[in-house]
Amino acid sequence: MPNLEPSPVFKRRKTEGDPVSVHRIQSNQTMKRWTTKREHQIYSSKLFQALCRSRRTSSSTSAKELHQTADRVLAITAKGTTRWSRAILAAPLTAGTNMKKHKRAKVTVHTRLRKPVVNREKRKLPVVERKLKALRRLVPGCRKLSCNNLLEETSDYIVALEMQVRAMTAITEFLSRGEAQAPTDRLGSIGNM
Amino acid sequence: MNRALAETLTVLDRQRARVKWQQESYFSELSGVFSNHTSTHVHVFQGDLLSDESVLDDLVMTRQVKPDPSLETSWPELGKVDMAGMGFGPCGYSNGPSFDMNYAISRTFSCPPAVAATIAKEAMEVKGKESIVSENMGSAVARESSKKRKADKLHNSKVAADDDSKKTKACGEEEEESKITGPPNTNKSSTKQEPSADTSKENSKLTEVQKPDYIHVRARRGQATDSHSLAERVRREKISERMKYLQDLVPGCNKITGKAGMLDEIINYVQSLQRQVEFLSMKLAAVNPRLDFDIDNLFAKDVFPPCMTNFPTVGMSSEMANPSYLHFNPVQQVVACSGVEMGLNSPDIALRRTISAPESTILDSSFLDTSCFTQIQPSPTWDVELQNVYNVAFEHGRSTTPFPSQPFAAAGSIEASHLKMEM
Repeated sequence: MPNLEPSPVFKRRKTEGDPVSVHRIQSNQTMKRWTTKREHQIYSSKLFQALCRSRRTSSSTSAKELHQTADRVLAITAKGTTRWSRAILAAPLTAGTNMKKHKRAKVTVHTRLRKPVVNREKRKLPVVERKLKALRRLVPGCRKLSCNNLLEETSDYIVALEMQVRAMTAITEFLSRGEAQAPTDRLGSIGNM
Repeated sequence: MNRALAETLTVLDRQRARVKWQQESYFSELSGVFSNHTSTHVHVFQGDLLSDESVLDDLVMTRQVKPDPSLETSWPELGKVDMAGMGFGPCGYSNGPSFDMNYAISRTFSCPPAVAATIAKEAMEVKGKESIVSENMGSAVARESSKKRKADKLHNSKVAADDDSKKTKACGEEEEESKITGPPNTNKSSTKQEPSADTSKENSKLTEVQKPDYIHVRARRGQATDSHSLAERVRREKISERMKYLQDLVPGCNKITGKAGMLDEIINYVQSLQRQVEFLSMKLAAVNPRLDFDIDNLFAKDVFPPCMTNFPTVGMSSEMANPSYLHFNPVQQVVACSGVEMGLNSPDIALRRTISAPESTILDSSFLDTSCFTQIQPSPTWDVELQNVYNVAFEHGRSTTPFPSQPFAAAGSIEASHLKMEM
């Protein structure tokens, strides 16, 4: 009977430095929900079902599809409490293609008209702002959030992503092990018949 | 600096006098927590508080009871609400709270005596309790100054006295404001501390009956007094709170100070996590082609070992039986889990988990819910609709694969509708 080695990974719970009361907004729905075993179970079982379903409906196994499915299941597990989860669920099809086109257009039009000196001076001054911009691009659905809320969304997103990584590693490992063992079992069972 | 030291000495002397006076009135109440009644009680408190934050919480909570009988109007509610909020608020932090509660506690001992000197003893107690309440309320405001100064109070009583005096001024502000403006305004101040602290500081400048001047001078030097800067300070405090929380989340950020560096690390970490997910999805896609078949087989082999003997034929029937179980249970779980309330899920899952606990062997039961695959009897929480659908699936499951796709499509739509309900 195979036992998954990742089990210690699953059992390792994240101990949060701050208890519930740190952020009043988060006090009701804490990051802890992403670290509990129950959430792990829910997410992984849902993900598994979604994978089975997608397997049966479409024969193609594209990584992008899988990625989107996994993200959507993660967003569903969030239960609509965070912006990034709602954004993932609201616009699953328009991934990044539209936005990128818009950005390129803007850049090409304006760079020639601006004076270079002013550009360089003003572009590099708000260092923190630029980094916040980059962060906004990374976290889905947070393009116009204030710094405060953005940091909150980011922390929740990070915890959720970590759980997603753990779940997906578990599933892949489980499946790859199953693959290795399945042929031999089938042979054995057929032999017994 | 010399003047400051001189002032600290005078403050310390004053506090010692106050402490000795206070002993009868306060220490009898707090004797359970504070053992040492000497003038170095500040150190003792710090030691006690650092060691026993939970005790402190209890202390804070028990103090709530005291204001109730003694205070008149809406103080009790104010005390309860704010002390609950502020008492646990500072204690939420890892290092900061001990210091903050130190401030709060030490403040209680320094504020009242000055008042008591002029007013009756009962009124003193009341004001002391008010000060406790107001201090806890004002601790958030004063916390900013405490954090900024980062005084190491454990070592120096002078420093402690200095900080105490700074806190006393904040306490004094709150206290005076509470006295002057009355309960309704303090109720407002409990929720929004910026305007109240602002007015309190203005009041403190004028009515300095209880507090000596030098404390207020310090206050003004350290803090700006207009509401804009106060609001900004609160906002900055929130942002730094969140940054600290993120620092705990992102590994390897303990040494990095400053927003820019931290944001860099955060961005890198989020990018790395997203890359990991992408890589894993690619890996899963590679493993996936054999998903159906192997999963069924795997679960048949590992999860149903006790059930294998019941089937007439070992190989094929197990494969066929398993898909039906798989169909049933995942959908059930989908229905249950995508329900509006989490409360519905947990008893279900717990029940299933307990049922399957002895049987689950493949997966770590702490992670993947194998119980969903081992449950044989349908649970009563099923939708009748789904049950019919899956009865059909069960019958036709042996023949072809397209049939299972229909119930899953149905499940998908049901899930979508549930999702809409949630959203």
